[in-house]
Amino acid sequence: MSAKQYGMLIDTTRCVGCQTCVVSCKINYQVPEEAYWSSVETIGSEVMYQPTGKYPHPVLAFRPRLCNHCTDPVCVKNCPTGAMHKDENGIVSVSQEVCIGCQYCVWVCPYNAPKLDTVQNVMSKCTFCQGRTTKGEKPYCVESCPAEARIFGLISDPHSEISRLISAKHAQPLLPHFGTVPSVYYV
Amino acid sequence: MAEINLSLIVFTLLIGLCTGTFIFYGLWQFSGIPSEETSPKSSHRVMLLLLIFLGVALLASATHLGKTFRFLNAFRNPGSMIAQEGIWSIALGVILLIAFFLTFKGQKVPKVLYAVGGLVSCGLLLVCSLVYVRALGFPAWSNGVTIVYYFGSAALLGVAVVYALSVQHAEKAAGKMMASVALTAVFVQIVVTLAFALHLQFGVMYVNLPSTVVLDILRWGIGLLAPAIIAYLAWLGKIKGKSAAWSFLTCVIVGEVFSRLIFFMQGVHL
Amino acid sequence: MKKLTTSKTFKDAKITRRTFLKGVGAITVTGSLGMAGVLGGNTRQVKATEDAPIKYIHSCCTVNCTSRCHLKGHVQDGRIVAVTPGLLPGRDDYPNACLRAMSYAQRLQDPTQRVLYPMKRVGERGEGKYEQITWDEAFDLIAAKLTETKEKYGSHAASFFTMSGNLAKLAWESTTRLGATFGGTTYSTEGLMGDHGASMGMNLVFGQARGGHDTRDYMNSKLILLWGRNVADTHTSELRYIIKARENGAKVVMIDPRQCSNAAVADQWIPIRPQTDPALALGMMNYMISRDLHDVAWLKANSCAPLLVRNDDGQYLRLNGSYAVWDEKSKSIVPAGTAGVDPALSGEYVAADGVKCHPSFVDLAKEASKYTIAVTAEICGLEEEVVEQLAYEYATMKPAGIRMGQGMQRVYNSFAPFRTVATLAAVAGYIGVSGGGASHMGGTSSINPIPGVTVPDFNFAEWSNTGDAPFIEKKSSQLYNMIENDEVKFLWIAVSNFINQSPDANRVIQDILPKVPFIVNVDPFWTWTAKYADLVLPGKTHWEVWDLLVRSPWVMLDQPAIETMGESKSDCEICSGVAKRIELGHLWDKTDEEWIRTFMTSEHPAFAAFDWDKWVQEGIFTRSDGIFDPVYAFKDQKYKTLTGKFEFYTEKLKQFGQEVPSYTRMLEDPQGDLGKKFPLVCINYHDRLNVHSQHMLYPALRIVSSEPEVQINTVDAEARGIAHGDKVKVFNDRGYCILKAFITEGIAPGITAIANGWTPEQYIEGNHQNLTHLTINPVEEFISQTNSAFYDVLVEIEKA
Repeated sequence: MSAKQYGMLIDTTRCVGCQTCVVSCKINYQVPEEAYWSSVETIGSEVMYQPTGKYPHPVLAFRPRLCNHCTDPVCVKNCPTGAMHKDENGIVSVSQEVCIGCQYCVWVCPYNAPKLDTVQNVMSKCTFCQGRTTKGEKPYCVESCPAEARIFGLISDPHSEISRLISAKHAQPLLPHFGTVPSVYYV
Repeated sequence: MAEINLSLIVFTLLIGLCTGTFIFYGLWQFSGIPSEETSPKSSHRVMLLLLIFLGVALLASATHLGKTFRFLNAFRNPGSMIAQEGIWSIALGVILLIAFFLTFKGQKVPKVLYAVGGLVSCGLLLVCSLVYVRALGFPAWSNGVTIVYYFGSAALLGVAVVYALSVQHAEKAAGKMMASVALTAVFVQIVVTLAFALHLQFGVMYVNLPSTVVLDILRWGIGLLAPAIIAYLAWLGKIKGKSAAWSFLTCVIVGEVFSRLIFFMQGVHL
Repeated sequence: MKKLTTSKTFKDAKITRRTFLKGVGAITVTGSLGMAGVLGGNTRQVKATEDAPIKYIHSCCTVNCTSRCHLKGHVQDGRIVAVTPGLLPGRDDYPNACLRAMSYAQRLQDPTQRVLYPMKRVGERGEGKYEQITWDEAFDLIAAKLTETKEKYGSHAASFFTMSGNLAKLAWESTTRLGATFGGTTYSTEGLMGDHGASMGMNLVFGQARGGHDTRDYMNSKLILLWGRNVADTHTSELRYIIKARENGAKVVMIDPRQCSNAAVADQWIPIRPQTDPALALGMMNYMISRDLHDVAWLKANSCAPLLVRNDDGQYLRLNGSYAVWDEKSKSIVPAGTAGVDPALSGEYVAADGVKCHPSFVDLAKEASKYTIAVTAEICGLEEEVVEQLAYEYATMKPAGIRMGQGMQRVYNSFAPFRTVATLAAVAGYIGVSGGGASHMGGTSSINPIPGVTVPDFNFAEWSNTGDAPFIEKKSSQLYNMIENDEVKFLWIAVSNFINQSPDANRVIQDILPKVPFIVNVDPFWTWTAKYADLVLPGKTHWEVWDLLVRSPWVMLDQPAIETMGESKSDCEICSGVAKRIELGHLWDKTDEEWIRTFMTSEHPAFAAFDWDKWVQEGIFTRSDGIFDPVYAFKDQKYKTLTGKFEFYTEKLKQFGQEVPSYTRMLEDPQGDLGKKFPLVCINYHDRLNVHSQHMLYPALRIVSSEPEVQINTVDAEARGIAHGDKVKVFNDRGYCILKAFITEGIAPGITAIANGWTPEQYIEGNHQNLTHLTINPVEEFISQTNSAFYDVLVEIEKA
C-alpha cells in the first residue's frame, strides 16, 4: 500500500443525476468520441432515469461512478505491460505510450473504470485530476457538482476532513468484497 | 453490452483445438493404438496443423490489441495472465516446432516431448481460463467453473480431432474404442456445460445476463446431443467409422463455436 | 472618451492570429467530413498543442435559466478547452458551472453549428438554401427594407422581436433599442414564451413580478415545498442550499406531475395533475381555515383579508377614499389602518349608505370551502391522505417555505397558480417570515425585481436615449394576430429561436410567417427559426463579445475569449451597422467595449472602487454595498399593491368572477369532450439537458439524452401496446411528432411529457410545438397579456 492515498466521498443522497460531473470530466479532458471516464447510474434500474417501484411511490436515486483508485488495484496487477500503475499519491493511471490497448484492465476492474481511447487505441482513465489536485484545486467532478455531493482528500490521513466524514457518515465503498480496497466511499 | 469479439472467439477455439489435440494425440501415441507405420506419417501433418492453429490464434489475439505492433510490451509484467498466455503459447509453439522438425526429418517424436507438450498445453489452458476467472468485471466468467469449461472444451475438441485422425488411418480396430472415448468426452462436456449453466443461473451476478435460448438449443443440439448420438451409434457399429468421426468433429466444432458465442454474450460488465 | 486599452489576456496577437488560421483550416476539413469529423479533428488539434499555456478568461453565462453563473474559461491556443465555476467574491459557497454552460462553450467553437457569414435566402423559406453575402450587402438590404417599410406603411410596421436567448445587457437590448430608435414595434415577450403567468400572479398579490427568499433562508424552514420548480435542473446554482436545508432537518416535498431530478433529493414526490395547483392550494387553505390553523393575526395585519367588500358590486368599500374594516371593539366600520382596532375577518355589515359589505376574507374562505380534501384529491389526481398530510404539515411545520416555479403556470388562466399558492402562504402567515414565503426566483437578488432591462445605479443614460421616435411596445401574445392582420411588414428576430419557443408551430410556419414580407434573424446557430428567415446574420455568443450582466451584488463582464467565428458580429454591432445606414448613427456610435465602459462610469458610491483592468482580469466586480447574507422579500410587510397589503382579493377581476384565487379546469380538459379523442395531457418541461433550445444535442451531452422522448406512465403505455423505446406518434388536431417512448413510473397516469427545446431534425418527425396552441385568454389580456398555455395540451399517442 502506498503511504499516501487520495480518495473521494460521494453522498448519493445529494445526487440528482444531472451528470454535470460526467460532462465536466468529458469536456475538460477532451475525452474523445464515445468514451466517458465517469458515469452516473440510476440505482436499481437498468435504464438511466427510470425509477424503481410503482406509481405513485416510485423511487428515484442515482449513484455516480468513477475509478476507485484502489489500494490494491487489480488493473495494475493484471496489466501485461505495466502501463497501468499506481503512483505515490495512490492514484492509478495509465501510461498511454506503453499501453497496448488489450483492454484487459476493463475486464478485471469491477468498476468498469478504464476506458478505451478510440482515437489513440490505448486505454485512458480518470486521473483523480492529478494535474489540478497537486495545485490545490479540486477535481473537476468535485468542483462542478451543483449539489456538492463529493469531497476529495487524503483518506490515508485519519485526521483529514474526508476521513472524518467517512467515519461520521458511515460511508462504505462499492463492491468491497472484490478485495481491491477501493478509495471511493459512498453515503 | 455483451463482450462479443470475433478475434477472441477464434483465439479461444483454436487454442482449445491446439492444446486438446496435442494432449489427446500424445495420449493416442501412448495408447499404442496407432501402428508403427501410421504414427510418424500422421505426426508430421498433425504438428503442422497445430502450428498453424497456434499461429492463427496468436495472430487473432494480436489483432485485437489497440496497438498491435506494441505486442512485445505484453511481456513486461510476466505475472499478468495476458503475459502468461503469451509465454505458454510460445513454449507450446517451440515444442510444436521441435516436433515438426523431427517429423520433417522422418524421426519419431519422443514420448517425453509429448509429455512435456501435454503439460505445457495444460498450462496454457489454465492461464487462458484464468484470464477469464480473474475478470472481476464479468461475473459470468469470473468463477472456477470457467477453468473446467476451458478444459472440457479442449478435451472434446482434441478427442474429436484424434477420433477423425484415427479413422483417417483406417484404424478399424480402434474405431470402437475411439467412439467410446468420444462418447465419454461428450458426457464430460455435458456435465461441464450443465455446471456452467447452473453457475449462470444461481451465481450472484449483480448484473442481468442476456437470454441465449436459441443459441443454447443450437449448442446442445449440434454440439452435445448430436455428437453423443453419433458416437453411440458408431460404438454400436450402426454407422461407419469414417463418417461417424468426421460428422462428430464437425458437430463438435460448430457446437464449440456456439458455446463460445454464448460464453461471450454473458460477458456483461458490472 | 478614454483611450481604449487592450485587455491583458489578448496581448499576444501572434498567438491569436495563428489560431485563427488554424481554425480556418479546420472549417475546410469539416466541410467534407461532417460533424463527426469535426469533433475528432478538434480533439486531435487540442491534444497536439497540449503544452500551450492556459489563460483564464472569465465570462458570465447569459442563458435564461435565472442563475447567471460566473464562468472561468480555460483558454489554450485560442480555444476554450475547459470551463469551471468562476469565483463569486463574498460567497465562497456559491460558484457554479453546470453541464450546459460547459458544453455550450464546446459547441460554439464548432463551425459546423455556427452561422459564420451573413446569409441570404435563395431557396424557399424553410428549405435551408442560402448564399453568403457581405456585411455591407446585408446592412444595405436591411436599410432598404426598413426605409421601404417606413415609407409605405409607417415605421411601426417594422417589428423587432426578442426573447431571452442572451441576457447580457447589449445582446438582450440592442434589437429592442434599434426598434425604439427607428420607431418600430417592440414586444414584451414574457407572454408568448410562457413565463408571464408567474409575473401576473405575483403582481396581483404582491404588486411586483418577482420576489422571494434567498435559498439559504430555507435553513430556517421546517418544510420546503418545491411547487412546480425543479430547482436541480432549472435553477441549478441554488440546489445545494435546498439539499443543505434538508440535511438541516427540513422536509422537502416536490410537487410536480413528473418525478423530476429534484424529486431524487426530496422526501416526498406529489404527482399533481397539470393545471390543478390552484385546487391543491385552495384545498390546503380550506383545511387550515376550517381547523383554525390559519394565521388570523397575520392576515389582519398584513393582508387585504379584513378589508370590506361591497356585496352589491364586489368592489372594496371606501370611506373617504380609504379602505375600510369592521372594528370588533367599537362595532363600527372604520378606515383601514386606524390605530387600535381589531378588524373582523367574518360577518356581514351595513355601511352608512345602507350598502351591505363583508371582509374580503369571507370570499376567499367561501371559494376555498369548495375544496374539501376529497374534492381536492379527486381534482389533483392524488390520494386523500396525501392531500391531508400535506395540508397538515404545511400548517404545522412552521415556518414552511414554498419555492414556486413556472412549471405550474404554462396553463390557461396562468395567473392563478402563483396567485393561489402565494395566497396559501399568506393564509398560513408565512409571507415576509424567515424560512417561509412563496418565492418566485430566489437567488441573491431575492428582494429585488430580477435585474433586467433597467437596473439603476449604472450609467445607462446614453443607452436609454432612443431619440425622438415613438416607443411602441406591444404584447407578444398579439404577435400572431398582428401579423395575420397585415400589421407586420418587416420582422427582425434576435436572441430567440422563435419557432421553437412559441406555440403552434404549424400555424406559425403555414399561416403566420408567410404573411411577413421580410424576416431577419440574428443568431449564432442555425436554428429552426433561422431556416425561415430571408436574411440570417451570424450573431456572437457570450464568449466572443464585450457585454455585461448584473447579478446583484455582482456585475459580470463578458469579453472575447476566442477569435471571432467566421464573420460573426455581436447584436449591438449589427444594430449599429444598420443604424448608420438609416440615419441613426448618432445614437449608435460606440463600439461594444465603449458602451460597457460607459455603463461602468457610474457616480454611485458602490462603484467607487471600480477598476476596468481588474474587471477584465477577474470578470466580476463586487459592489461595495453588496448584501451577502440571506435576505427575503416582504420582511417589512409592505406591498406595492393598490391596497398596500398582500392582496388576494382583486376587485378589478370581479367582472370575470376571478376576484379571489380560484381553480378552473383545463381549456383542453381530459374529462371534457376533447378528452374522448385525445385523452392524454402533454406537457413540455425543461430538462437537465437544456435551458431552452441552445443546448440540444451537444456531443458531450449525448450521455444525458441523445434524442427527444415522450415520457408516459406504464399504465398508459400498456393500454396502447407501447414498449419502452418504441417509436410512437404523439398527435392532436394541430399536428404531430414522432419520437421514442420512455416508459416510467415517475409520471402520473394520463400525463405525458416531452422536454422543451428539441428541434425537428432531432425528432424522427415533427416537433412538440406542433401540438401546442396560442389561445387568447380575455382575463389575462385584461390583466396584462395571454401567457402561452404550453401545458394545457391534449394528445393521443399510438405506435408509429
